[in-house]
Amino acid sequence: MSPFDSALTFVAERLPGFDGDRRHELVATVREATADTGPSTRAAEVGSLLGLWLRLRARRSAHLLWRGAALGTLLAATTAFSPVPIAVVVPVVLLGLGWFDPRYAAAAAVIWVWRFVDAGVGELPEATVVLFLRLVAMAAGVLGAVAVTQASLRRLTLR
Amino acid sequence: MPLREPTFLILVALASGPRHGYGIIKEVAALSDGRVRLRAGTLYGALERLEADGHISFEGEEAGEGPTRRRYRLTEPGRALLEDEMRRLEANLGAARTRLRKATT
Repeated sequence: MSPFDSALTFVAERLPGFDGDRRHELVATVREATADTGPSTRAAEVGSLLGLWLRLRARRSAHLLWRGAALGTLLAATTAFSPVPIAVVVPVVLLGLGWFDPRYAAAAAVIWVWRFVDAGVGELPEATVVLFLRLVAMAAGVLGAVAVTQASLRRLTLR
Repeated sequence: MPLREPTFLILVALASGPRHGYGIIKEVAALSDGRVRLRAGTLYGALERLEADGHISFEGEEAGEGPTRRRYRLTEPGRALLEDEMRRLEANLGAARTRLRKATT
């Protein structure tokens, strides 16, 4: 296999949302289109596929994040007055699921942001130690959920 | 929103009948007298978007000498989109001709 074929196959296999048939078709199309061309045209074709990979990845990420944010908003509203164990368990479970699906990690991040705002950041100067610790825990939850969302997205879009 | 030139030419290429990827590349090159040469990334990005929006659909597979390939065809909404874009371009062209004629007389 030539370096061009290797690069072509490598990028085609990573295009998100493309099934096996479409990948084969894409590779066949590029091979035909570059049959009698030089290295610069072939490099440009690989470059255009890399551009497509980046565009598809960004579109897919945005779509997943919006769905996660919508789920998080819904759950934040429905668990706002729940007993503490439920209010704590829901985002933690979502964070665990977020390792496999970024939508759930994004939902957990949104829930903790809502809780953080709702806990009364404006009252911080007079805050009790308990409130302060709650705020620190929720801020850590937001940062952790964002990190898990990013890691999960990276894994998903490299598939 | 106006269509980008490659997207417009892809729709025009499919207006005369279903084609596979390389067939679209060749037809677009012929339509534009070789001025527009579609790269695979541009073509498949546009095909993916047009298919998701229902403007084109997957027609079937074509088995030739090489591997079996999908063929794409224009749907009714795709034809309507192309006709809207043609009307927009014709209106702009008409306005430009009128202004140029006035400027030269």
